[in-house]
Amino acid sequence: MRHILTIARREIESYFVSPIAYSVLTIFTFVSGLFFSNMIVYYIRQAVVADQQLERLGRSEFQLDVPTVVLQQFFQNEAFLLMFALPLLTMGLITDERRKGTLELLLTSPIRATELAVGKFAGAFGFLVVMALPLVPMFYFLAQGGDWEPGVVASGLLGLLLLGAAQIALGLFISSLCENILVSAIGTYGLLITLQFIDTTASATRSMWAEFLAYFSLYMRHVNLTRGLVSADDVVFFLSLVILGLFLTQRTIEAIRFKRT
Amino acid sequence: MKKFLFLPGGLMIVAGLMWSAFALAWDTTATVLAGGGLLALAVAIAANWQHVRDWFRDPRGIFVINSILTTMLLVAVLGLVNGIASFRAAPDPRGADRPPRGTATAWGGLPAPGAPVPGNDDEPATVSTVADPTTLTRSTRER
Repeated sequence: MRHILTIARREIESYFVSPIAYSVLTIFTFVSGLFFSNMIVYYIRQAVVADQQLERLGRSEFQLDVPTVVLQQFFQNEAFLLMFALPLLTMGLITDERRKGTLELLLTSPIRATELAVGKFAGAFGFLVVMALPLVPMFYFLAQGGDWEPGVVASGLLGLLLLGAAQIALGLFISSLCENILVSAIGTYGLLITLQFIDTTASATRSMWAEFLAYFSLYMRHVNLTRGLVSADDVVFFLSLVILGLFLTQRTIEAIRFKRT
Repeated sequence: MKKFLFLPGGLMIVAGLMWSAFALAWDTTATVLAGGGLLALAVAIAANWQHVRDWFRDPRGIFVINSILTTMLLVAVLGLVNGIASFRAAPDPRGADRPPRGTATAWGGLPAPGAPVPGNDDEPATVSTVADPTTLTRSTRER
């Protein structure tokens, strides 16, 4: 446990001396804010139209609960943003150690492969939590505007962290396979984009194989959490991806250690 | 040289899997590719039988087999846990606009279509006889 904490702390510290992490943090916060303000303006306009329709005609085709709709759309957009931001953070987790030659030191130290994998994961996850912190004032702003649902916010944040954790674990595994940072990033993008949109092709048909593929869709798993629905199977799915990613990383690190001894 | 016989078999199996993923079905092409790949692998193993036996006794081979078996075991356990979780959750199709049964709702569930929205104190909607609602609906959509 001590080793895991040391590696995680070192990883977070290394993020904050790297320009990539600051760029990711800045762009993620800026684009999130842009999405948030645009969505609020858009849905408030829609709600005004709906109210006018109701006032003039006595009926309205649609009814909008603005805070809930904004939150749902916002968390879905955040998931999309994370898919682009996280591979930039995970691409160097193991690959960078290889490039600098520090992996040799780690492999010959008394640190176990599991501790290394979990420590790296914990460091990247800690940075994800830091990335999520600037979102909190946005929810506070939303709360000032009227009725809002704290449960939806909590569920959305939980979903974002679970999705991010799964993406980090998979990115960590790809990073452990690659010796080049760029290849690691491209591999992670390829895997995450496939998993994110696998349901769009699978929904075209009703075959058993298509349904099996759709089961792995990150989007379909995450969308319930953005609605405020905390379903056990979605949580278990994301945790399973984390465990699988960490296990495969541990095996790859063991394989590297095995080759060099 | 004979060990390169493993390559076409492996590539054919991967191609078969990818084809089935894109075609969203195990059609004839995917089956032929995967089956042919398995056959090619079997031929490669038979041609390199002595090497394969040595490899299995080699610590590298033991490590790889060990890794494959433990990964398969983990995937099986995770699949089982996911299966149990899915079975206990929703029988509804995923992505339906209503909360699945057995699902904890953090905000009390979604309103049914047409039901009044909580917090909206407007009068309940009624059909207007004054104006043509279709016209305004269309113009609202265009906006």
